[in-house]
Amino acid sequence: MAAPMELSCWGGDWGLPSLHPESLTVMAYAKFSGAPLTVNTINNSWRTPKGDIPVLISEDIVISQPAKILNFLRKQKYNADYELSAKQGADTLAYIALLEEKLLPALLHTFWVEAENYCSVTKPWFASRIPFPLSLYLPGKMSREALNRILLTKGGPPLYSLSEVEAQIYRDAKECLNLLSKRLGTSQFFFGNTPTTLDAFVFGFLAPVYKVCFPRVQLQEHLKQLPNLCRFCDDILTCYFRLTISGHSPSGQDTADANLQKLTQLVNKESNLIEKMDDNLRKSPQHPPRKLTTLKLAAGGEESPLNRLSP
Amino acid sequence: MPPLHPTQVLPGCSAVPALPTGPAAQKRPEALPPLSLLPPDPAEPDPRPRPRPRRARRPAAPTRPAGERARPRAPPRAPPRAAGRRSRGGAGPGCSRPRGAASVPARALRPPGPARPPQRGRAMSLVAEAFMNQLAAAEPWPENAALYQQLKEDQILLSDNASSLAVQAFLQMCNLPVRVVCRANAEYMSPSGKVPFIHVGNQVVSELGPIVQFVKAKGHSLSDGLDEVQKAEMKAYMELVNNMLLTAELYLQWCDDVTVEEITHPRYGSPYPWPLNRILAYQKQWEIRRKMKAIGWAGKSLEQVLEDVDQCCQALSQRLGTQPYFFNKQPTELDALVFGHLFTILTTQLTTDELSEKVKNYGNLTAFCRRIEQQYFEGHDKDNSGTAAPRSAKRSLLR
Repeated sequence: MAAPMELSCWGGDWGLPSLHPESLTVMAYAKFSGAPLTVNTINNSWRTPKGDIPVLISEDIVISQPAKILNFLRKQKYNADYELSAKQGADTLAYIALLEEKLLPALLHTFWVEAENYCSVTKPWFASRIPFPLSLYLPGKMSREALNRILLTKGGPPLYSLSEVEAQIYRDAKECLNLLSKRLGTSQFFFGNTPTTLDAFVFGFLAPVYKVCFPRVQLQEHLKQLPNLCRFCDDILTCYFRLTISGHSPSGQDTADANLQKLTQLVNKESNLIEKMDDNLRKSPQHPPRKLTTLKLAAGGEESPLNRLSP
Repeated sequence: MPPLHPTQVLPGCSAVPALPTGPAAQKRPEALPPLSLLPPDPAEPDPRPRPRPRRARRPAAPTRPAGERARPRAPPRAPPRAAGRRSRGGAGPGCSRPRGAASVPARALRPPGPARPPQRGRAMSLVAEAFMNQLAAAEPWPENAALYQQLKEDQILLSDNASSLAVQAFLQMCNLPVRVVCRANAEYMSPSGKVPFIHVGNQVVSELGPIVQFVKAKGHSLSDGLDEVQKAEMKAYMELVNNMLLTAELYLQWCDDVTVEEITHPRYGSPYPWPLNRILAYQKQWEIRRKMKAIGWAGKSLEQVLEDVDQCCQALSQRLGTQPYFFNKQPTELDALVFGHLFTILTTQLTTDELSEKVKNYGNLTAFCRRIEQQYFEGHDKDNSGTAAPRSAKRSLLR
């Protein structure tokens, strides 16, 4: 089958597989499509690639940027949008644009520009995952880039001061959350019962807002008033990032009985394997327990593509 | 007609003509006056020299209480300024005088109406502006509403023409008459530094989003018939057009070296003499390239950008399907926006045809553009010769 694929991305905390929206998007898509990614979270070592995160490495191909990684995965036949109509595909593109234009600036601001959040959460968290001399420089650089992006895209007359720009981007972001909430309604995912690319993007943008404990949380407060979006995040976290071992993933809703049988066998085999891995990992002291989930998943994804490949 | 909440200010409205302060203001160097074109302002030099001697004298007489001196003197200072402002306002909104500062044109556009709040506190004037908006909301749409854009024949660029056409289409769809006025310095007159902007009564509003809100406050709306999900969808597609088509247009005209050299620079600086034409064009180019870098488009090649455009057109085409408008029978602001961009792309002669070819691949999109053009622009051309969207299919906008 396809060459092994390795994804390097920022690690998680606060019950999230990753703190970084773009990393989270790719991880979620890989789960949804069943792509067997080996996830390497970036830790305090020089080995990890610098530059754009997340990065997908498959043999000698190196791909960064979530959109390109998702395209690559689609070409490898890991397609979560298989059942979407052309119009739904178009909707996906439109809502991703909405997220990038309206929600991303506020998200960047919450993480990287809001001084209190940056100093007490973001900077220490990222610095602790970057090797020493760079840890003094990179978080500051990321913060400057975020501020630059916000000012260049959203600033300018008639919004002259940073506080006015802030007010505007948070207004936009809250409107965006309301729109998403209305669009989602009561359905489980954005296009029915199966998660797709759009769900991966929305999850990637929302989950960090929802879960990370910041001192200043105006976006989080607003999100928590929209129960369907919170439920959406919780569902994906529990179904795809915790319980994949038990084979509950809705992406595996396949009708063919033969496939189902094959799947059960594989799942059984898989869960044995994972249990073994778990034991090994628990013994190693340097990993906090939450990292186990990530590694579990990486292994858990190994066999699930089979059921997607036989439609 | 929902009156605006006092604290809610339309973002693009020429809200407060506050002087630029803070880092954002310093970032906009093109706010500087094109000095060589600035005609002498008879009212301005008058009040300026006077305060100086007074200030100089103040320390010389420290024994006098400050309040006593300041009071009788404050009034004489005010009238000359007001007079200066008034004379500017009287010169007409479209006077081809470049502005002195970012805020001047907004002020200059206002007729010498009721007292503008002095720029003492931002908060104060914001509230005042909100009340003005509320008052404006009650007024009907005037006959003499005007839309400003750059010179159509030899200055306006692809992206600005697209935005301007989108607003014109939107107003036509609302059945609101507007006169199109072309000014070489339209960009500097706009409160947000972007064209187009409309001048309605004593209000100046720029860009489609704020204009839609402004028109809605006056009781005209195209999207009232949509349900919540459709509204969300409409906003999402509008962001798609802004995110992809608009950015691609900006990329093409400011980052593609051939287009920059052959089209953008000559056109953008055309109303100004050398060396100002070069300086302004380079300033704008620098600004746009910084923006492209910030959103990660700087590293893209032209092919990748065209691919993005294709993807966007494909999405729009699939969303439109066989319907007459994006939300079936009734046009919305999304239709206006899409029309503005696609029609401009289709009718503009660039260095190559690659961009328009991408759009031409989608038959329903070209038919959509033709339909809106026929329905909303043909026939109106006679009334006001300035309206855009000429009938000739191929029009040289950029050459």
